[in-house]
Amino acid sequence: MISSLQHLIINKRAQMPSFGWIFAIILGIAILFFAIFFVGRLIAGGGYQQAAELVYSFDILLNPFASIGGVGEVTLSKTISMPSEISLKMSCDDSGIGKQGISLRTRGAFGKWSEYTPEKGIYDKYIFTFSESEGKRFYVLSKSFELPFRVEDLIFIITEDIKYCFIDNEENIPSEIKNEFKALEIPNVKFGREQGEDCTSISFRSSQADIYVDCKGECNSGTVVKGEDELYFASSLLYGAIFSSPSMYKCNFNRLMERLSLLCEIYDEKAKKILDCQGVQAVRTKLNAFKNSIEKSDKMTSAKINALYDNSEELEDENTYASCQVF
Amino acid sequence: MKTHMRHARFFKMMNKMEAKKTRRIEYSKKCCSNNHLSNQLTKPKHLSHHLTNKKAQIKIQEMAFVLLALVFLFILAFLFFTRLNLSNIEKRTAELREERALSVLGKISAMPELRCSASLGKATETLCLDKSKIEIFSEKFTDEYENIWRGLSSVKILEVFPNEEEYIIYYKNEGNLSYSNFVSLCQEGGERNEYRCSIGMILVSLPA
Repeated sequence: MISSLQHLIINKRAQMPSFGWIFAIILGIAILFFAIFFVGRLIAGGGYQQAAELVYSFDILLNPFASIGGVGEVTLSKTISMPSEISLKMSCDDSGIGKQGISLRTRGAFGKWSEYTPEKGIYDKYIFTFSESEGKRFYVLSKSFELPFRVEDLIFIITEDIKYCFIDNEENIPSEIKNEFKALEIPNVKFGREQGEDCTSISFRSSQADIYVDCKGECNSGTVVKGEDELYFASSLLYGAIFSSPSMYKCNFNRLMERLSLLCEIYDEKAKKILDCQGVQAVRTKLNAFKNSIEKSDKMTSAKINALYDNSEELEDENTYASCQVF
Repeated sequence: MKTHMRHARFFKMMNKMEAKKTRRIEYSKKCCSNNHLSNQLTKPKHLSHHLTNKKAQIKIQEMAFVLLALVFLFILAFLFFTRLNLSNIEKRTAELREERALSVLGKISAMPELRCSASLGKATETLCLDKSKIEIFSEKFTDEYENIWRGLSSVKILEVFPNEEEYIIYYKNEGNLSYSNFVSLCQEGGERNEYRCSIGMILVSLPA
């Protein structure tokens, strides 16, 4: 009996793993857990950091597109390729000169999206695109907005997954627009549609198309009909109406009208300084008439946008023939 | 009589010794019959337990120190990594701010509110700002455009030659880092296509 008791004690000791083993297992689990946790955080944080850097870089990358008008009336088209697939979220606020908010997220190595970065406010650019777009390559088109003087350069972002096609015969497309798009060679924008091709149709003749452009004259002003939305355009705003969502277009339209109004005030002040010069008073009168025809998108009509463009032409003529030009 | 007493004392002593002996034997018997083995084991096991406990205590202390050292190592590694990451982020932030300042320099010279318009003829072909517009803008329109300069300390346009003049486009505070770009400042001369130009400088300051 005594001998079995001794055996039992010895056996129990043998059955129990030693303290060293228990310690090693617990510590091993803890180290592995922390390592996995930190690597996970590192990957997630890295993705977020990359997205945050990309937001800033994206804004900086767009700067050349926002300054082209300084060298004349030109159109610039480039492709921006991102290091990884990104999802772009844009917002717009039209109070005052307004702002656009941009935030993005990146797709990680395992196909998981990072979190959206905090919104970065852009005050000095007018970006026409959709509220949300995804892709790795973005076609960026920039065109100066002049009415009649330069207001700002408009930026149009086209994602690679949306295709546009002009469905009219080429002779029905205003020559300036046709020549410009042909020269720009944007892969997403095509003339004509092949059988069964899935693309957003653009037409200057048929109101049945996805985007119907109702032009006045040489298509310098008019209306773009997108489903139930009617978007009024003048000058290069036509591109904005085609390549952006109606809400984004209306917001940027309002921002541009505010900027246009401020520029009218600046030119009016400048005209006051050279009022002695012949013809300047007439320019001021036209400038005021033009300023009064500026309206926000909710009050704009087809007749008003055409009147705005006509007033701008009259103002330009008056300024050209004045002894001292105001702009 | 004396001899008799001596004998009696001797026998009493002998009896006492005998009784003591008997008690010892009985105790010994009693003790050995119950716990013979344990009595044999107790003594060395007690000693062994004492030694093992001390050894275990040392081992636990050793483990605790190792654990403590490991925790410190992890904390140090984490702090090092965080610091490295933070300095990288700070460096990148400074780079991005610098890029923004440089882009603002380009942006100002392209702003229609400040840039020379067609009225200044050939001057528009150069990097040119309209002095009349700058004067009007700095006097009356800085508030409307305040948001454009967010993140910057100040934006100034200086006329450096032949006159010296300073136009404040935006001012929040005196910045620590400044970036500048030379431009021509032009103004209509009174007659058509006549203009006068001076040397100017755009100065963009960034906070520390």
